[in-house]
Amino acid sequence: MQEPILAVIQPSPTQHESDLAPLVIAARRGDRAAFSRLHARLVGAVHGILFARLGPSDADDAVQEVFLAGWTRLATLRDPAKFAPWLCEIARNHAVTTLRRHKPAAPLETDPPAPARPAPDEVHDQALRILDAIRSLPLPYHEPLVLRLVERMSGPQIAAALDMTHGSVRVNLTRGFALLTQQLARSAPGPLGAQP
Amino acid sequence: MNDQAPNLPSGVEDYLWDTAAPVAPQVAAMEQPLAALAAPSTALFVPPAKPARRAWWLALAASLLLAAALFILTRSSTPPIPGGWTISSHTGPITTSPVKSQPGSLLIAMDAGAKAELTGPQARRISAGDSARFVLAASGDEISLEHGSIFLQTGSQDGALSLAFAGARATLSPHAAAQLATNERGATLTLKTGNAIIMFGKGQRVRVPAEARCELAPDGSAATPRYYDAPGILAKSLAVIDSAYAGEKSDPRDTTVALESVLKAARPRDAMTLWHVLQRVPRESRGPIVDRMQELAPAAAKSSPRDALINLDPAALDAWWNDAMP
Repeated sequence: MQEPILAVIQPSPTQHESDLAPLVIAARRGDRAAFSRLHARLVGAVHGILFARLGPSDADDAVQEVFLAGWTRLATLRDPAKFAPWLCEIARNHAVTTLRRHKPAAPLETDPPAPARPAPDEVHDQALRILDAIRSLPLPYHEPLVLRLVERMSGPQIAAALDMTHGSVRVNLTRGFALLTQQLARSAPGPLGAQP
Repeated sequence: MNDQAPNLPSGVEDYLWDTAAPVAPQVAAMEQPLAALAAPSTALFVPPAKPARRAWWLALAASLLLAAALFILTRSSTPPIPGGWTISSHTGPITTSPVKSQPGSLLIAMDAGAKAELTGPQARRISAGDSARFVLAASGDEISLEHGSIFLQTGSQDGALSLAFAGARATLSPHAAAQLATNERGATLTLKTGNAIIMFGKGQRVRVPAEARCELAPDGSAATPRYYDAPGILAKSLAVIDSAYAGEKSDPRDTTVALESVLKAARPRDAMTLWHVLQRVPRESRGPIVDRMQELAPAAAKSSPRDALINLDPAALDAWWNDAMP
C-alpha cells in the first residue's frame, strides 16, 4: 500500500542570509560555481527590486549587470552574511542609474534597456495593471509586494533579502496588499479589485 | 505610515507571509497574471576572477604572452575594420569575417557572454552585447543587425549613420543614443537621446523621438512608435491598429474599440503616437484623432489646420511635428 503524503518540502529559492556566507567566502576566492549558486538563490530578489523600479522591459537585462557588478566588487563586501542586502543595494543603485539614463540629457555609459517582453495579451495587461497599482502605493510597499507577488518569495525570504525585521515585512505585506486591493477596486472593479 | 487599509479576510495574511500556507484566492488572483513577469531562469556568465596579488608576475607574463598571441593572430587573420572603426575593448571571444556579398564590409560576431565596444570617427560608439552579430558596411556608416543587441551612439557631426534590420533602415540624428535588439517578434529600436527616422516598405516612414521605442517585424515593417512608459492599454490597442494597417485580417469593430482606447489612454506626450496613428487609419476615423492631438498639444494646433491634418497634407504633418515635439 502506498504511504500517504504528509507534506511536500520544496527547496526555497532564497535561504536565510547566514546560509549564503560560505558561498560568498568561496566566491571571494574566485570560485565561479559558488557565485553561480548565489545567483540561483538571489536572482528572484534582485529581479524583483529592479522590476519594482524599472518595470518589466528593463529588469531582465539589468539582473545580469547587477550580478556582474556584485562579482567584480565582492572584495569590498565586509560581512559575507550581509551579501543579500548588499547585492540588493547594488540593484537599487543600478536602477537609479538606469532611470537617469532614460532622461534625454543624461550621459550614456553602459548597456541600454532590454527588448520588450512578448506581445501584450489580456493576462499581460492585467499584470501591468497590478504593477501600475503597486507603483501608485507609498514607496515602502513596492519591494515587499513585488517580491511576494511577482517573485513568489516568502516573508522570511523577503526580510533576509531586504535586511528588514520579520515584523516590518509582515506589516508592509499586509497593509500593502490591502491598499493594493483598494487601489485596484477604485481603478477597475472586478475580481482583482474586489474589496477584501 | 498612516495609510488607511481595510482588514483582510482570514488566511490572506498567513499566505502572504508563508507561501506554503493554504492558498488565499485573493492573493492567488494577483500571483497568476504576475507569474509571467518573474525572474527569467537564465544562467549567469561569471567571468574569471582577477588573479591574486602574489601571482602578479605570473599574470603579467600570461598577459604578455596573450597580447603577443593576439597581436600575431590579428596581423595574420583579422580583416581590417571598415570606416575607421576600432574595437576599443572587449570581454570574451569575438569573431570577425568579411562578407562576400558586400565587399569591404565586416561581420562581427560575439560569442556567448562576450561584449565589445567599438569606437569610430566623429565620436561614434557601438556596444555589442552577448551573442550579438552585426555587419559593419564598408563605408562604416551603416550597421546591419542580424542577431542580439547593439547599442549605438552618434557623435556631434551629421554623418548619416544608419541602423538596419531586415528591410527597415533607421537614420539616427546627431547626439543620438539608440539600441536595436532582436527578439522573438523581430526587433525593437529604442531611442534614449536624439531621434530616428525609420524608412520601410514602399516609402513608409515613422519618426522615433528620444525615450520612445518602435517595434520592427521580421519583414522590416515598423509598428507605431510609443514612449517606453506608455500605459499598457496603449501598447495593446496599438497592436490591433498596426495589424489592420499591415493588411492582416481583422474585425473593423476591434479596430474602432482599439482606437477609442488609444485616444482615451493617451497622455500629452503620447500625441507623438497619435501623429503616427493618424496616418494609419482610414480618413473617416481621423477627425477624433486630430481633435485629441490638438487637445494634447495645443501649441501645434495653430500652425496645422484640422482639415489639412485629416487629409494627411505632408506640410501640415511636418508643421505639427516640428511645433509639438521638443
